[in-house]
Amino acid sequence: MSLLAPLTLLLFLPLGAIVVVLYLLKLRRKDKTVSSVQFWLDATADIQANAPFQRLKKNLLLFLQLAALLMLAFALARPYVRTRAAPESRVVAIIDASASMQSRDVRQSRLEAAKSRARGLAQSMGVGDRMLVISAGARARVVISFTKDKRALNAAISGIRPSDAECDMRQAMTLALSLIAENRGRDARVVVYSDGGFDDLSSLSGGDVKLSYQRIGRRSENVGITAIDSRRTHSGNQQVFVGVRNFGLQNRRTNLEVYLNDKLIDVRELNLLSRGSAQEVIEGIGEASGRIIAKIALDDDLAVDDTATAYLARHARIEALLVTKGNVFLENALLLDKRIDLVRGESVPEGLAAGEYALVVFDRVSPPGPLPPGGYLLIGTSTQQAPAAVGQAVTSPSIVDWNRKSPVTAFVDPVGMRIAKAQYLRPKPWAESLLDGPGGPLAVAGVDGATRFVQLGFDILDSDFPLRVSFPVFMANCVDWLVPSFEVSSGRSVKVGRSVELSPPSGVGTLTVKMPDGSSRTVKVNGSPVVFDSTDQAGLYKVRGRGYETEFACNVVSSNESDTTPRDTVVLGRRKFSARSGGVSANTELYGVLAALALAVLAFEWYAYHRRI
Amino acid sequence: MNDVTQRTTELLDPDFLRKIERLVLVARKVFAGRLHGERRSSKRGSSVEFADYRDYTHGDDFRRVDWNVYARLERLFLKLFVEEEDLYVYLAIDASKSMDFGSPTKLLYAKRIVAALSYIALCNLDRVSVSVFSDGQAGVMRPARGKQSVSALFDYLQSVSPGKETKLGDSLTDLSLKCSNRGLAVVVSDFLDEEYQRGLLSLLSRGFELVVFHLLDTEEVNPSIVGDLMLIDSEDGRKREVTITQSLLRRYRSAVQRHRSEVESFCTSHGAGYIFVANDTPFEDLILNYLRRRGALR
Repeated sequence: MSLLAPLTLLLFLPLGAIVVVLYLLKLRRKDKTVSSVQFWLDATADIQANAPFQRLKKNLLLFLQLAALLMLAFALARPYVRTRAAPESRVVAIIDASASMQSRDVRQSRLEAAKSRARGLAQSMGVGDRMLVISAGARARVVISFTKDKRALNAAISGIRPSDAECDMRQAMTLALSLIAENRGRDARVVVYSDGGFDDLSSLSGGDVKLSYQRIGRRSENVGITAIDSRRTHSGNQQVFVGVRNFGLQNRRTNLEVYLNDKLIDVRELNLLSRGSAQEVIEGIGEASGRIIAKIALDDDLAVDDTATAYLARHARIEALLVTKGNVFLENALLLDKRIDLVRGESVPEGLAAGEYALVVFDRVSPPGPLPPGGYLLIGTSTQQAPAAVGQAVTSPSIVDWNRKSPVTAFVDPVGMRIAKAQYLRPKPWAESLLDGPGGPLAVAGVDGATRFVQLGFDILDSDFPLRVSFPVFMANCVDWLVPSFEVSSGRSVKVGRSVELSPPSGVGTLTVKMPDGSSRTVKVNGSPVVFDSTDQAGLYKVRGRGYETEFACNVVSSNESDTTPRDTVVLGRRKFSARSGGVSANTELYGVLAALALAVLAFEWYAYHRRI
Repeated sequence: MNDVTQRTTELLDPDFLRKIERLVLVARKVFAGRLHGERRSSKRGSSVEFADYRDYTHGDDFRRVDWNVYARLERLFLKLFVEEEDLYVYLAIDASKSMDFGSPTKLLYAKRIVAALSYIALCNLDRVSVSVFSDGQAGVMRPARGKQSVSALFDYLQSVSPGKETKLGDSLTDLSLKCSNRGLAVVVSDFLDEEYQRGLLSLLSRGFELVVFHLLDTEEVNPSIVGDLMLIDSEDGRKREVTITQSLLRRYRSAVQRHRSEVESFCTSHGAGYIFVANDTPFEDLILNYLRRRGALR
C-alpha cells in the first residue's frame, strides 16, 4: 500500500493532541467521598485481574477517537493498493459493438454487459491511470481519447451504439497497438470486451503487449441467414439463393419466408441440425423485378441476422455505336451480347454529341471533337480525352505482363498473343495499364469523370487477338465495365458497414437517406457518385433527392457474426490469450474504506460512551 | 425518672425506654461478678440455692460446715451455695470516620443501640461499661451500675464524635486489655477494616462472650450512584477512579455480601453472636422484636 498524499498524515499530530486534551478535560471525574473504598476495590478486583486489557479499556474512548482520527488522516493521505498495474497505467479498452454483441443470451445484451464491465474498469482506475475506449464495429472508432475523467469515460462508454456490421477487430487492434506504442515506458495494456467473433489476428504483431480478453456471452443459440443473392438465368427468369445456418447446439425447425415487394411468394420449411445449414433456391419468380426479402421466423439469441434483402434487376438495352471501316470480329463480339442495340457506321453520326449512345467503339477512326459522357473503346486510335497519348511505334511486341486485377482483363489470357505492329501508349495519371509490352503499355483503361475509356495501342486486325478465346471475354468485360449501369434495378443490397455509391443526376443538391431505424440523414452532393458510408444498421435505406429516388438494403450475412459462440481464446500474433470472465485488476484507492471504518469506529465510540462498556 | 427522660430524649424515646425496662441481656456464659447482683455467679456464695460440697480446709468459715454430714461421716464438709452477682457488660462503639455516614449516621444508630442495651443492663443491675474506639485506641468509660447511672452514660454517649481511622485490630485488643473482668462484650461496628478478626479474637481469647452488631448504611449495601466518579475513602483518603455501571454495581453488591458472610462465618465459628443491622431498620423493631428473636434479649 502506498500513499498519494503522505504529508496529510502530519495532520494527525495536532488533531490527535487536541483529542487527547479534550479527552482529559472531558474525563475530569466528580469527587465522591464514601465511607470506604474497600468494597469498590473488591468489586473491581476481578476486573483488575485482566489488568492489561482493563488499562486499555479504561481509555477505550480515547483509543477509539484516536483510531478514528488516524483512519481519517490515512484516508486524506489517499492510500491505494498497488495490484498488477503500475502507476499511471494506460488502458485501451476495445468494446466489440458488432452484430453478434446484440445477442440476448446475457442480461439485456452482450454489448450492454461489455459496457457495464468497461465502466467498472473505468471506475476502478487509479488516480494516474488513463483510459481510451475504442468501439469496434464495421470501423474502429475512438470513442474517447486517453483520459482520467471517469465521468466522461462513463458517458462515452454508455454512448456506444450497437452496430449490425461485422467486427473489424483487426483495425481496432491495429489502432490500439499503435496507441500503446505511443505510450511505451508506461504500463500499458489492451482490454478486449468481445465474444471473440472476429477474424483471426495471428498475422498482427502484438509484440509483448499485455492483453486481457474479457469474454462476453454464454451460449450460441442462433439461426441466421448467411447468404442471399439473386441472378437472372439465361432464359431470363429470376432466381434467388438463400443460405441459412444453425449455429446452436439444438436442432431447429423453422420457416423461411420469401417476400417479393412485400408480398409473400414462398415459404420453405427448414429442418436445421445442430451446426447444420440449408441452401434454398427460390424460383418461379419469372422475370419480375423488385425487392426480395427473406425472413426466418424464429426466436433466437440474435434477431438482426434473421432478415436479408436482395434486389431483382432487369436488364436495360445498351445503345452501342461501332465506328469502323469494317471489322467483322468486333461486330460479332458485340452482337453476342443480347442487350446491345448496335449501330454501325464508317463515320461518326451526328447523334453522338447528343449522348445517344452508352457505348461507342472507334476502330481505327479518330473520334471527333469533345466526347459526351459514356463508355468508349478506342482501337488503334486516340484523342485528347483518351487515357493515353500515342507514343513510339513498335513491331512484333510481345506481351510481357498484364493487369490481373482489372475487371477489363479478368479471365483474359494474353500469353502468346501475337501483334504485328503497335504503338506504345503513355497513360495519363488517372489511367491504368492493361497490357504491357517490353517498352510500355499497349492497352490502358481509365475513368475521367463520367466518361470511361478502354484504349488499345494496336489494331486488332494486326494481331491474332480476335482469333483467341480471350477476345469475346475481353469484349464482354469491356461492355460491362464501360457501361456499368446496364442493369436497371430498383435498388441493391450490400453488407452492413460497406459504403454505397449513389449516382444522383446532376442538379440534385442534397440527398435525404431514411435509415432502417426511421431516422434521416442528409447527404450533400458534391458531384456524382456520392459515397454513403453510414451503413451500420441492417435493413432498408430509402434515398430521395430532387427528382431522384432509390433504395438499398444492408444485410448482416456473416458467419462470423451469426455464429455467436463465445470464443475461449484470442490469438494475437503468436500469442494466445485465454478468456477471462471476471474483472480486470487495477489500482484501487482505499480512502472510501478507511472513511467508512472511521465512521464505524466513531459509531462504536458513541455506543461505548453511552452504554459505559 | 423525669430527669432521666429529659437526658435520654435525644438518643431514645422515653416511651421506648419504658418498653425495654423489663428486658434482660442474655449471656450464655456464667461470669464472676464483683457485687451481689441478679445473676448466677461462678462464685459460691450466700444465696439459698445449694451448689456443692467441698472438704474443709484451715481458715474456712465454721458457719458453713454441714454438721449433719459430719455426724454421719465424721468428716468436715463445707456446704456451698450459688452466689448471685452482677454481670459485666462492655458495649464498644466504632467511632471511626466511616461510621459518620448514612441517614441516620451509622454512629448515631450505633449509639442508640448501645444506649438501649446499656439501659437494659443497668435496669438489671449489671455493670455497664461503654467504650468508644477509633484510631487504634479504646476510650473506656468507668463501669456504671444501677439506673442512676443512666444519665451519665447517655451523656457520655452523646459526647461521642467521629474520629479518624478505625484500626479495629488495635482498638479491640486495647479494650480487651483494659477490661480486666470478663463479661459480655458487644461490639457495634461497620467492620470496614481488614484487621477486625485480630481484634475480635483478642476479646474471645480473654474469655469474653461476644456479640457483634454489623452495622452498615443502606447506601453502602445498595448504592444508587452512577457515572464517572473519583471515590475518596473517608478514613485514609485513598482514591479510586470508577465508572459506575450496572455491571459494576452488581459486582459491588456481591462484594458487600461476601464481606457480610465473612464476618458472620468468623463470628459463628468462634461462638460469637452476629447480628447484621442496616441503618434503615426501624429501631424499636430491632430491639423489641429482632434481638429477642435472635436470643440476645429476653
